[in-house]
Amino acid sequence: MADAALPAPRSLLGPVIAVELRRQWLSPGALVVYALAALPVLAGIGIALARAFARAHGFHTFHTPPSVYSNIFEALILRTAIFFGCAWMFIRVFRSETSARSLHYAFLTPAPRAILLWGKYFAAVIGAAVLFAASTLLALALIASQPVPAGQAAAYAGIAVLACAAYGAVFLLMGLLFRNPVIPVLVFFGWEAILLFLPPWLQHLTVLFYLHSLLPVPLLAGSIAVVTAPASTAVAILVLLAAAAGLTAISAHRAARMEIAYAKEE
Amino acid sequence: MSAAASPTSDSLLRAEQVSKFYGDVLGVDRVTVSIGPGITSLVGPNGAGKTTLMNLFAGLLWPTRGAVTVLGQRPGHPELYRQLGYCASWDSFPAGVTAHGFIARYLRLHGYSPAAAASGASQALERVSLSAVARRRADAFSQGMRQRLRLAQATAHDPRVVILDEPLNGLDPLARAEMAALFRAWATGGRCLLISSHILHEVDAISDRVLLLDQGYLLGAGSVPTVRGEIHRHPLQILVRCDRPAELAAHAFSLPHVIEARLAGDETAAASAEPGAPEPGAVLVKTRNPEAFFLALNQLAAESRLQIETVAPVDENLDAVYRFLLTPDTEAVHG
Repeated sequence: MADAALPAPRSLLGPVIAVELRRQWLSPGALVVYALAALPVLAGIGIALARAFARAHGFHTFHTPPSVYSNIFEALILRTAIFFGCAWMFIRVFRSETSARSLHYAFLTPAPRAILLWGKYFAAVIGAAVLFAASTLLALALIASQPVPAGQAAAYAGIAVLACAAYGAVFLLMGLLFRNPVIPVLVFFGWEAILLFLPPWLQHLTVLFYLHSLLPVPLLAGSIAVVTAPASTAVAILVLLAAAAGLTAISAHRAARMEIAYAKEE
Repeated sequence: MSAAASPTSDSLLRAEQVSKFYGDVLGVDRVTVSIGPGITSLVGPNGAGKTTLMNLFAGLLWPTRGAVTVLGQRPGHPELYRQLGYCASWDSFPAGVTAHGFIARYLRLHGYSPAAAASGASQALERVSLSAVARRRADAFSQGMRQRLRLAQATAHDPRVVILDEPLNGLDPLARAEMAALFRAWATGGRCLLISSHILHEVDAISDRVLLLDQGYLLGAGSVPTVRGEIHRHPLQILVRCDRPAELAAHAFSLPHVIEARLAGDETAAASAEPGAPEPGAVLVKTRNPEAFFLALNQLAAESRLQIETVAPVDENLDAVYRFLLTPDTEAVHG
């Protein structure tokens, strides 16, 4: 094959993303993420049906105020669907190829390891962001009893995208650092779960703190929660993006020194 | 064409004092080798370090000590992989992918456009006679088809250096012959092929030279006869057919470099006798210094009018060398 017109290795990011989008999102392994993304939509359908049933039978029609949706979004979408969906998808970005003993094929191409890793990360973020943003908007439309302002809807979708980028970077690194990442994932889940009970300075070391800061409608916090002033929108977005970039850069560095020794993974 | 322990100017693959340890376990130790165009075979028993050395050349492992270069570049350098193809020993493919999709995906990561990658994949599959099953899933292939698919992957981008780990495994005899012819065709085009195999008679037939590894150490490098000469302490067996074998055996046994001389009325001589020939009169001599023995044989023939029919090394092929590798008293010649 003539290779005179082939692009420089550093410009192979596009092909890597294209290949990875198909590999990651058209594989049976992605079904878990599809199921998790469907969870809020199913909950929304349940609420919408209940509301329609009540209306049809002359019962008192219940409403879901904006703060209720904000809490549903935080608990069901951010903490559950996106957290575990990203854990499943981003940890598998490398580990699925390692367990299938097929990672070496990618390493034997001119695409630099760092480009391969960033390409895999972007492909996973793109897929997860589209999926969970759509899930967020659909669930919002189904759950809200009144039309939601476009700005609020866009904010929820944007938070979902940022959550995918930030959690994705954490789980990508976990997949590279730990042979069995289940325990680290559960520890991280616990750390995020106790956010509202942490002292203010420790809250700044969680992903959820910055995601909460972006919510268009504040959460209904419990009486024992430690209330901390939210970060400004700009700071929250910058911190989340910087953390995602930094963690992915660490993963890229680790991938660049990775050896293929499949037997050790079993 | 070269495969030498010391680097040469036409080296395409080079290892200098390379060691690789997996924790406390030795992969290869202090291997120095230089490989030029043509077909070089890497032979040795299981655990010899063949795959480790190939993985070091391919950049899938990093040396603990020493340096490896391919086409003058360190493995891992992105541009190198435009010129290097590696058929690894792992019999695995990405889940659910078709043969054509697998090669096309690989070529896409080389930077080929989708159309060029599809076309290149078709050509690569045709080269290994897999066109008819191009749209079938690779994980449903037989072992021989999978082997050929991995060969197609290793060569789809037309590399200058091709490393093939056990490429003939799982192939039927016809496919082996086809692949051997393909290897030879690639090599005559100026490419460098490094092949490991346990099918020694086929390696013997297609190789320009061999590298012998055992327990992580390079025992020898070069043509089969050269490697034999490099392996110290290993006696060469020479069958001498003559009119007075007992006299020759007695004389040979008195030579200091001869460690065994016996009348060969056994299967060795019988096997080498031509049909219809008289009862073989032959002596099997084991010597550590073949050249000195040949000189002494000439002198004996001249002085005592010994009628010598044939003189032939009986084990100058890779099978014999390989058998030697498995003997416990081998003295390694460290690279």
